[in-house]
Amino acid sequence: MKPQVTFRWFGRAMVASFVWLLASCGGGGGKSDGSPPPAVSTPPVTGANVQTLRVGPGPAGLSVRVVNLLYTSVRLCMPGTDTCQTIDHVLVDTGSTGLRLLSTAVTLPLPVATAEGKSLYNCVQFIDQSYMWGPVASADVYLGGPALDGEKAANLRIQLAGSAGAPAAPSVCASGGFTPNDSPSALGANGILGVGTAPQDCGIGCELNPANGVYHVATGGGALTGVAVSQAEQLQHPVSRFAVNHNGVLIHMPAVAATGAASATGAMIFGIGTQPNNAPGTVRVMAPNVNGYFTTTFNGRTLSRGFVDSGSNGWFFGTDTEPTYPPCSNAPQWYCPSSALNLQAVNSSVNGQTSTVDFAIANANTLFSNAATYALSNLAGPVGDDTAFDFGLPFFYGRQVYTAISGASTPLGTGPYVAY
Amino acid sequence: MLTMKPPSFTMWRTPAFALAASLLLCTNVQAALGRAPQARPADAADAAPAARQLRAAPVNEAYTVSTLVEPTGTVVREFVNAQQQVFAVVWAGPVLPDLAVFFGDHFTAYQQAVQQKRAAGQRGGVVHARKPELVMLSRGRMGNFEGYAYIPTLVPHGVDIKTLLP
Repeated sequence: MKPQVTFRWFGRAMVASFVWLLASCGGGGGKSDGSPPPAVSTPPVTGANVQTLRVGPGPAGLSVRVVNLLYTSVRLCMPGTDTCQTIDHVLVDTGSTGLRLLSTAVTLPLPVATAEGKSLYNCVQFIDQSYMWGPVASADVYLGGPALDGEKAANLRIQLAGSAGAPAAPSVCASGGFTPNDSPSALGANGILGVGTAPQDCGIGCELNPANGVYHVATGGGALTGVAVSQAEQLQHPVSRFAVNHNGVLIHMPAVAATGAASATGAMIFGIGTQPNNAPGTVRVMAPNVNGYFTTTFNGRTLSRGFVDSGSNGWFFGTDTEPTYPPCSNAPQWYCPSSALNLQAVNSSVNGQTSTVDFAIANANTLFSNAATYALSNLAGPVGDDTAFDFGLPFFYGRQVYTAISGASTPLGTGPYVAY
Repeated sequence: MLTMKPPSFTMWRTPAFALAASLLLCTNVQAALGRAPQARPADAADAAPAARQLRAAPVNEAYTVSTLVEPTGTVVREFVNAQQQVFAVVWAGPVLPDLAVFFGDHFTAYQQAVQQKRAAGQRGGVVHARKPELVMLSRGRMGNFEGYAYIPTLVPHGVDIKTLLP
């Protein structure tokens, strides 16, 4: 394989992402003034391929407010049995691939995976210097349908993060003061359901380089060594393992008023153009370039790193130098314009398609002021990078967003892409 | 884009052409921003397979570049001024490098940026800081990280720092 070819493949395989930030407080004050904001939801959609999603308060054990986190429930079973449990408050992330659950939330004695006859461990790093680390296990994972029995990913490889008794994370995973996402308060959820564009969590890099840093085996006495893992044996995209409706997902969230909502209930519909309930209407298809991005034109600038990520909890763009939307003085991670602003971004893809995204941002302190509000459509902050635009969860409100798995055939073309 | 050419994976697959003949090996990894670079030619005698070091010819007279290819495939480049101080570090690859090693005394500023982000309830996006003593940015998508950090006061005169960054 020529390097260029390999790189292209690699770039597409690594499109998955989710730059994860630790749970902590919900940003800003949280004084409760005024009446509770309403809850909003999309019209109910039924079907075996329909999974309910909800933005609202976090899981038990999370004592602080984090807004704009998209949660769902996952049912997992001992492989080949009907011994099951359901885990709530699992974060739905279109920026990563694979199911990762906090081991403290999993009561089933799931069989652990091995490589070279030794227990297999998985690491994922997030951009804020946090990580998830733990053994790879297998479970029958059920999603969709009225009783979480609609779609099945049999014998799916998942990660059990923060497992007691596991070897400590190796330095390549946890180095430099990295923080483990091993509790609900650290993670803000009981796990992450990665439904991004990559079919596996790592791809060819982990198949060819045992020192890639992602997969390790225990060699006894707490020692670990890197191990090459074939793509088939890596953490898999759960949807890709369904018998049907396995080419991607549609996330349909309700519109959220400018002042926010107490909760927002929507749906993830499995498959793209495979059923009447996931037939795409008129949408624009944004295919990622080799680095996983599309181009975004915003505020007179052309940004080379535009991307959509349900695991980001705001609109993130710009640095901190724009006078009309200055950072909040008390929390410069968010913008505090003096009044709401209507803005526009234009996305263009390597496939030649373009789309215009109209949105509004508002003063973050004002948005945070009602402590009962969890869904905020107008929350924005600096990305700190004048080449990037992160279309986080607010982008999903009032939209139907399709995420196609790399290599999968759909009526809109072959994945990977994001369409809306 | 500069950072992804060559991509770290390709670099790993093809060290022969990526690193050419000037490959050096070193063990000394105790240097960081504001200090001497991670490896110096003198260290080559203490060869260790874990770190492969290319010490490039000067790009211009104002600075030199040291490139470290980690076993993971992540590539870290250090930009060194005439006083042999690292004034900028740039990285790209499937996993983050140990930023504590490369940031040295400035790692605290980075951690503060992370903590402030958490405290503000922000998720996603990137970690960034813009202070008089340190400008840094760490971004990426899962399995594809990149970033940079530099000390504005150590950047050689006449060098446009933006041309060195990803």
